[in-house]
Amino acid sequence: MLTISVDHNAKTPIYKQIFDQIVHHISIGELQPGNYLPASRTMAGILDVNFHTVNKAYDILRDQGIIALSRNKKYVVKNSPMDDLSLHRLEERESEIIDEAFARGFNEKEIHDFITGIIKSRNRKNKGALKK
Amino acid sequence: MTGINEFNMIEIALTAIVGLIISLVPYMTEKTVNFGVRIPESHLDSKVIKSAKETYTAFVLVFTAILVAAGLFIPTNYIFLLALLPLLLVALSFFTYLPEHYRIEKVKKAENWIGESSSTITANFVSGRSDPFPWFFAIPGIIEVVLLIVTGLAYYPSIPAVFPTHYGINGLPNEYSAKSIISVFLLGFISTAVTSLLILIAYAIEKTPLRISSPSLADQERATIFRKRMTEVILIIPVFINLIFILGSYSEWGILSVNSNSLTIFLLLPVFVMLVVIIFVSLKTGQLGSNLKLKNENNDRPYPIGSSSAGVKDDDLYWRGGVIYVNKNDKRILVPKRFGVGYTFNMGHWGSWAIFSLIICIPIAVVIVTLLLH
Repeated sequence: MLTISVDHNAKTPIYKQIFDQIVHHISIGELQPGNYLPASRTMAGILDVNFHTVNKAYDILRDQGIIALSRNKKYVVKNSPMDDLSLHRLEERESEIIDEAFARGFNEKEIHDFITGIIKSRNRKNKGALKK
Repeated sequence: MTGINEFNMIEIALTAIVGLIISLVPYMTEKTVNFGVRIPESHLDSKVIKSAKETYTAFVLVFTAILVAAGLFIPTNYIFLLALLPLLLVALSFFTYLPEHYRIEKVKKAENWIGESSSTITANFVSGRSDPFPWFFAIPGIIEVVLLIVTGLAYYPSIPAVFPTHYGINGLPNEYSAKSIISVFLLGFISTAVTSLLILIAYAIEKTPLRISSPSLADQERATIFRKRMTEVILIIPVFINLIFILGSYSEWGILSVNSNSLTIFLLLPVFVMLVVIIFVSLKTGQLGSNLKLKNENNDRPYPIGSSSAGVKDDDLYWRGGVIYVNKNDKRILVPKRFGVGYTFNMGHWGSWAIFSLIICIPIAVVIVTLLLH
């Protein structure tokens, strides 16, 4: 199941909300490599947004190598190994978060625990999801 | 009470059951939709909604009582009108619903219920990990179709050149058909068509994304169970319908010889059981799973990352009178109803118009074929 929720009044742009939630669903194993994403017009119609908005989210996901356009013109979740570019991008975002945490006075152990906590919550859901 | 037989009693009982169910519809809809109007969470306890529910239920129950009484004391000459009672009841309930719909809509507008916080839309797609299509539920119906056709082929040589195809109220055949592939297998063809159509609808429903009222895990689970049960119920319906076609065909072919009065009861029994199954599942589940009692209702039902807990965005403008859905941008043909349990057509989609034309054309074609056979 893929549940996408958009808040039309939120500060976060709608394409970013859709992007984030798809990445989240892949992260917890609800979406797996080989699974198809809904057609952009279908998703746009139900969420009451312009289909260019959904396409924008899909385009970024494709640029980052998370999904790919399959032969039948549907977007499919990729079994995406990290290339140098995406590794670099991920490193940059992690550095930002860690910098902010240090700047706000967290120590090394607190940051470790914080991150381990998030990872654990994903793993737990992932295991549960796969078992079902 | 003259002229009332078992068959009439079943029709009257049917009217009573239909009335009872229709009177309970306001208690089976999505929690945030009342009388076809989207209600923000903050106004769910409003007086106008409570009063609308009570008025509607009371009126429908009174109509039901009147029609059942009318059915019991109907003069023998007008006994055929009994079959129209359930339809009449549906019409009367609709005209009870409509004023309540407009009443709530007016209050909603006047008191400005929709605020800044009603801004989210959540969709539940059947992408990724999901259960396989429940073919298991389709198997009994398919076996019945095969049984019907195979028996027909086996008995074909022994069917007389002219055989009865219609029985009068007195229990004696009053219409006959000349033997041909079409006349012998007419009911078989119809049951094949109906079974295929229902499997197709079940398949479509299982793939149809749903709008749900929040991205909470509880609402996701409700939607999943609702979709699953709707699919299974639709797959089970051919079992009952095909039973009617089998009994009908067997009595035409002379395999079953029961007098027509008890045959009619035999034929109505599957319809009855089918209705009970549909009603039971609808009541237990509620629209989009609104009546389901979930195990972990309150604890550990978090919202997923990146989703907002603001209220549902108003979508009343796509619903004419709160019951007819017209949305050109929505690519779905079937969407969950607003007033009742189950699905309705998106009249903004060309596919709905195509299906409607087919639904009208098939009975006309059957009538023409039947007329040509006589």
